[in-house]
Amino acid sequence: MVKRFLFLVVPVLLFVLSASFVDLRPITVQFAPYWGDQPVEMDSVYYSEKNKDSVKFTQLRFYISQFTICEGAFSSLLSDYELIDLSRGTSFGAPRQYYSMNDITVVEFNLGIDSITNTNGVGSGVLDPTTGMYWAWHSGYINLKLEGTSPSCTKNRGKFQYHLGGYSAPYNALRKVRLPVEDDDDIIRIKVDLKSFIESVNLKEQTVVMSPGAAAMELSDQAVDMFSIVK
Amino acid sequence: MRKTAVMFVFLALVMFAFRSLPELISWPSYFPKPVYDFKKRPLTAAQIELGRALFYDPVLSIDSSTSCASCHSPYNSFAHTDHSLSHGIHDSIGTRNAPALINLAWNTLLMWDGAVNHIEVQPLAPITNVSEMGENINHVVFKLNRSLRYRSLFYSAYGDSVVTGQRTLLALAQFQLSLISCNSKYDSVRTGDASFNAQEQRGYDLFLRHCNSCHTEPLFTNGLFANNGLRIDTTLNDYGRFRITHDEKDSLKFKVPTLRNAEYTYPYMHDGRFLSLYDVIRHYTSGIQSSGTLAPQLRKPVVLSAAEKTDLVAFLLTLSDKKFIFDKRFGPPQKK
Repeated sequence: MVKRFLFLVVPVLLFVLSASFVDLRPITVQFAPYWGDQPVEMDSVYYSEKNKDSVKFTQLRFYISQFTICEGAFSSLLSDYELIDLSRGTSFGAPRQYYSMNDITVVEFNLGIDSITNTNGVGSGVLDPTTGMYWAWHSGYINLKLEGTSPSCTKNRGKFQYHLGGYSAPYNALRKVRLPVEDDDDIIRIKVDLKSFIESVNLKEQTVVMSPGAAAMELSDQAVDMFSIVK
Repeated sequence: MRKTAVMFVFLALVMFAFRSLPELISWPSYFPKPVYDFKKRPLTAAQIELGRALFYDPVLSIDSSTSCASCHSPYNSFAHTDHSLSHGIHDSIGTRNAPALINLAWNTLLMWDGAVNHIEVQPLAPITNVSEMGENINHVVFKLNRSLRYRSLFYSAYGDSVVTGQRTLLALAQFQLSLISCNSKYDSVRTGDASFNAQEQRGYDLFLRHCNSCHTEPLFTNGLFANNGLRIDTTLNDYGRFRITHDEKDSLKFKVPTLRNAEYTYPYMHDGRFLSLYDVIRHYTSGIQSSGTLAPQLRKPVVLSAAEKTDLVAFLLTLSDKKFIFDKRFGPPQKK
């Protein structure tokens, strides 16, 4: 009987003890907008030598869902939904209690809101339509809003407005982002390189994307490439 | 003995508890299962009451001129009689006819083109449309938060007086979900409390043969989208569901509307082009425009004699639910 009891209790005790000895550390996740290697501020001018063009950014907001940290074979969900507003210089990741057994090897998240959430009716908190990240004339969350100005945007009074979204096939604009982490740190800094995105779009011809469809799909693919871990 | 007595008292209490619960909504047993998940978000009297206040309040529009009820009047089964296209702030005219708001809990996709996928997010469309309310939900929430009357209604509904977008939209949905119309003569016939007269019966038989495959009873819609052969209005160039799906197969398809209360919801079609039920029937017998996406049911001509058309109309009039139209629970709230 006693033997049996020990058999049960010892592993549990060992686990509790080990958990209290391993590094219990708060993880912070920061997103920061860049122009190549240069941090971006809203309303400042950035030059593209490739496109012989200049741009200013006025708004950058996007949804991140299912933010997951992987340590080899283990993975932990840190957050279901976050609305990242880089026009206000915010980042998410108020310190979270998180058991780290090994080094973080990969960070994974979805850029946007999944189709189930998109068809579940009205959301609260960061999913409340008052955030301005929900379409009105047809249903669906806007996964990413990037707005700004450029002399190239003659078709739209100098402005570009990309509101990317769409939740149903064949125009589901949700994208998975997977970033390998080389140097493990308590702060995961994720760079959002607007230069890579802007240089991949044609600012002269494509100034406005505001509905689901082929254009939103293509730009959503390009948006994935903006994300990388800051070394 | 004592045990039995205790059991009896307990059972009586349970029954009393169930009896004392006011029945907020009900529908006949021959209705299908609702699409809306009432288990996940049960209706409450206070939320319906808040939704009703919002529904009749022009505060939802930018200049406080237009409420939901402006185009969805209870006396027209929450459609808009005499207006082919909906109109809004600054006398602007929209592009579509305001449909009846009944039995919405059985709808999967809303709007003529199915642009909206859930009743809770539907109000965002008219609130934001520049030809309707020209507002945005953020500013609506701001205005409601300033109002003592609404703060108290939100407190009754949610146990918290803070107005949010979600709570506002949820309340509007709850009121609209409560708009169940199921007390027409047709329903009395279904339940065995009445019977069709000879003309209505002939009309019903014609209906089953020619109309029921899309306007499927008992809801009188299959909830799907179809091209019913309307000639395109070149001033509107409205291709219906195609605008949403970008799929050629959806070109000129519009939502099949319910025929319940059709008597009260004229004019008809997505652009309100037909004034009477006779006009509508005449369209199906002699006005069909053929095109690649035309509903298969309409490819063969529908042939009806003049007498049969009258019979069909007589049946359609049995779908009128006067009790619903004059139900005080659905009318404008009395401001305290």
